[in-house]
Amino acid sequence: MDKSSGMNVDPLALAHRRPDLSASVPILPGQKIVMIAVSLALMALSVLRPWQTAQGCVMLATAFYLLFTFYKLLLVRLSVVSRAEIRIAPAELAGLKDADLPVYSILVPLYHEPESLPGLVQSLVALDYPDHRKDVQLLLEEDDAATREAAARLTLPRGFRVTVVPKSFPRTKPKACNIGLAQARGEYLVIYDAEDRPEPDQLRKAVAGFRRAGPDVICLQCRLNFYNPRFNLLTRWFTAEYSAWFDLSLPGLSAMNAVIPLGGTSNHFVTRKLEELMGWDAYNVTEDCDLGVRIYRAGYRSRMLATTTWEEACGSLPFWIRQRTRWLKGYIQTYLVHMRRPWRLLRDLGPANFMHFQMLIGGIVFCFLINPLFWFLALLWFTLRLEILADLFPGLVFVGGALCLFAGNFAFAYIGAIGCYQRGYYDLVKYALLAPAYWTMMSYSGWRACFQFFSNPFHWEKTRHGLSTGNQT
Amino acid sequence: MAFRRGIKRSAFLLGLGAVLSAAFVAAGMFRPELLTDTAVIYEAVCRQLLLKTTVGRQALVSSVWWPPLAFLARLPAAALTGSQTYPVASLILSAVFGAADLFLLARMLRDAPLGAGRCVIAGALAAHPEFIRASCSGGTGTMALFLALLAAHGLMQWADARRLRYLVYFGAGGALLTLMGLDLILWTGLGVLLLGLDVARAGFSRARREAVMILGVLPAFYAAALWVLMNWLIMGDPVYFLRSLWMAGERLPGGNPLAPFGSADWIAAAVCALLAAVSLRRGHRSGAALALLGLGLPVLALGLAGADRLWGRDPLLPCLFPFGALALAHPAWDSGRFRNASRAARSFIPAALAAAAWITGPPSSAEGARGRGPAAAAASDAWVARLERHVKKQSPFVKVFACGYDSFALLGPRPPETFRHSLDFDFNLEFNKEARDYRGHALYVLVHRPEGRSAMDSIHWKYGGMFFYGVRSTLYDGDWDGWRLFEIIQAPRVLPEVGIAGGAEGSREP
Repeated sequence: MDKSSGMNVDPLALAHRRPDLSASVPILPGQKIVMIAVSLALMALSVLRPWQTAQGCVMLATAFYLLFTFYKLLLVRLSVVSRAEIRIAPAELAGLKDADLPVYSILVPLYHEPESLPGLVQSLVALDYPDHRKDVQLLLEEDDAATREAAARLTLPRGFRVTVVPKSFPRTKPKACNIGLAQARGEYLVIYDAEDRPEPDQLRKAVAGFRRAGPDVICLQCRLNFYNPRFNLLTRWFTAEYSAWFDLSLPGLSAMNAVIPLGGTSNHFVTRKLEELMGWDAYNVTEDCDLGVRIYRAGYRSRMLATTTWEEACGSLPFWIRQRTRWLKGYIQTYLVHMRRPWRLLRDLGPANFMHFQMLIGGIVFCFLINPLFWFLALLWFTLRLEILADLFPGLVFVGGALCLFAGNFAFAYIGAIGCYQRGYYDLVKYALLAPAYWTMMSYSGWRACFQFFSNPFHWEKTRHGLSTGNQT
Repeated sequence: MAFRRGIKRSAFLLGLGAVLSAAFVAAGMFRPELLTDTAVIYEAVCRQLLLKTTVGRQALVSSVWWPPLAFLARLPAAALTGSQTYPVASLILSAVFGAADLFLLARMLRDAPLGAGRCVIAGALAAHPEFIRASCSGGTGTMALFLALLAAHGLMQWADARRLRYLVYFGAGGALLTLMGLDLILWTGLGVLLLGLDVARAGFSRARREAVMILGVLPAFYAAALWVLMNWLIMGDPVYFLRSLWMAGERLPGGNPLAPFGSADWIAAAVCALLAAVSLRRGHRSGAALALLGLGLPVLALGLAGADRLWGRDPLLPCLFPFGALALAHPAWDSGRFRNASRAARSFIPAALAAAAWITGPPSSAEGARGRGPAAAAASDAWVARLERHVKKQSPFVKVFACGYDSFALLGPRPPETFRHSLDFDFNLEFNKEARDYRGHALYVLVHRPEGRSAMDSIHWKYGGMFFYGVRSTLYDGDWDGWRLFEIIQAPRVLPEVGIAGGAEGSREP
């Protein structure tokens, strides 16, 4: 695959050609009207029938919690039982001849990360793939002099090149990736972050995976985990969460052939198909999640590939909150973009995937937003024993609420512990059980994301890496 | 795709399970004499829970002999079936778990070297008279069996393959068994002990040993902690539900501890013992886990019977036949001198065991759950009506507090207006609360004879000898079919708010 210079490419192609699928306008006037109408209706009901309104809301929330809990348990069950991922046996890998391997493009967007460069280059060189078949682009921002200078100082190995991303709005990673995509020469393409350490045979596995999967599979998502899980309590919890998500949830989705909200890195694509989809939405701050949905809407599929990329877990609480805020803001963006025409989404995805979308994208954010309210109600009930609170939960709703509180919360913490065990992080199992404290921070980030979505929707809160260098597993 | 095939297979199994369950429910509906008091009690408490009454919440958590999970599992069905005099929710639950037991047993036998012989064994359980009765009785026997098989399956497979999935099965089974009453708590404790021994001998790192124990045991501890928490919140005493273990008060002398055991039980226990010996000798871990868990059933039953704490065969002894059958089918036999026994012979033995159980039936001398057939229900309804007329002779405003869990069976889910269920009296307060709640009413207490599980009701452990001698402020009134009626003596009320110091206000009461 040969491409001309990418300087004349449009990194905002999706926003220009398919604005209905882009978050360039975060919320359409029609959506605003619906939101305002629902809010007004709720307020009116709260005034006219306050008790019944409260009971109705509690009932709906409890039903959602129950559904979400069972959904999560189903995913875990499928993840551990089904052949959910594409697994490449060593023999099959050994059968891949170098001559048969296609050119593989690797995009690595960097911004103010000069210290990450040497390690990054080292881990990309360590990838077991012929050098002449690697097409590595370091995507550096025009105004990031420090990283550009660091790159200039390095003697980049064969197959590496620097692509400069012109300074323009929006300042996001997907915009840089779109520029990289336009200049990619490979048949397949993968995104890595600066601090990523992919398993050395990952590219070969991806090639074998694509060849084994059907022609409709255009994306393979690798498992992500951390190389610094024991840096502090936050990284321990983060590791438990990632282990549960990438090892015990996404494989279940893959087994069901469901929409997979892609993780931000180690997504392998068929380059031509990705171009057909106009790359990433430069305005979406979780462009990966959005792309995961668009892949399905276009009639293609994603699968999980059984190989891991090791990342650095954010060990600083303020940076962790910023990162989580961005992720959840991106989920809100993605949800609202695709729900602009719900009937069309339903037609594109089909009923089952439509429900997956509701649970995975909308449901997760909704969960984080309403959790504090229900924790507060539970706290009030335990401390003050207000009978009026019990009356908010009529009949079976009370049973369902109690089930969610006592069994559901335990199940979620237990899933985290299972994830740690499965990963071989035996010493982290006990920390996973303390996850409820971690969930409060998630809820805080959720509310922060909600406010930021309205105040500064395209702001990219960058995560700082390198805080725990040297504490590698 | 594999997932689609899995869905089709699951749908087929669900359909088959639904047919089996429907058959059990139909059998229970057409043979109401199979229904037990226990089924009625669970159902009546579910109604109270759905009405969110205090006595319903107390019944849910306040006794280790009346496990919370048995109530909670019925709640959805109870809510759907509405207020019935017939315990339909209980029947549905026992039937559904009856079908689930058969599937789980067949699943567990899948790895046994029996071929089609496993169908014979599953069929032997399906034809077992005690199993059929349990599936149609509305009791908790089939549910207990399912959870016990789940935990055993988890522990066996974990011991064999060390796969995380099975450790989680054991953890989940253990947690649910912990909410199924004292007998099964003790049995779960045995499972935990076996897991601990297995892990200690497995050569794992310390961190991994800890992790295994957390994943395997923590759910059970969590369930127990929840039970304690609920007792603290509802009963005001975190260990209220355990008090009846050692504060049983004055009770009737216990019977023969061997009475609940039938000949088939001894045979099944012997098979488990034999498998345990063979497996331990050959280092066959899953065989040892299965056999020791199976052997734990009669041992615990015997211990509880000796301590006068066993109320019939449920829930331990009915589990013995399936464990014996599993023990017979276990692959451990294949690795030694028993390998020459043919598959046909090995699958014939459980069938013969089931036939023997058919012929002999469960021991008649065992104190089982009292039947709650139409005749028994009609008889108790009749004397309850007579009792109501009797107490109303004194005053048209009267309340009778029927004490203990048996009151739910006596009065059913919709007690007459005159009666109130009561689980937690505080006589030391001279019935102030009751007198305040029912001002101007004549008050009575109806207490069941302290026998079997009824002896563990709070009224007996709080007020030892209550049934025989009454307590302060009560006056014996009469005996009613195993129940004793006491009148609560109330002093004339004083009305300080209107300043009639020392004046009686009897004339102001209705």
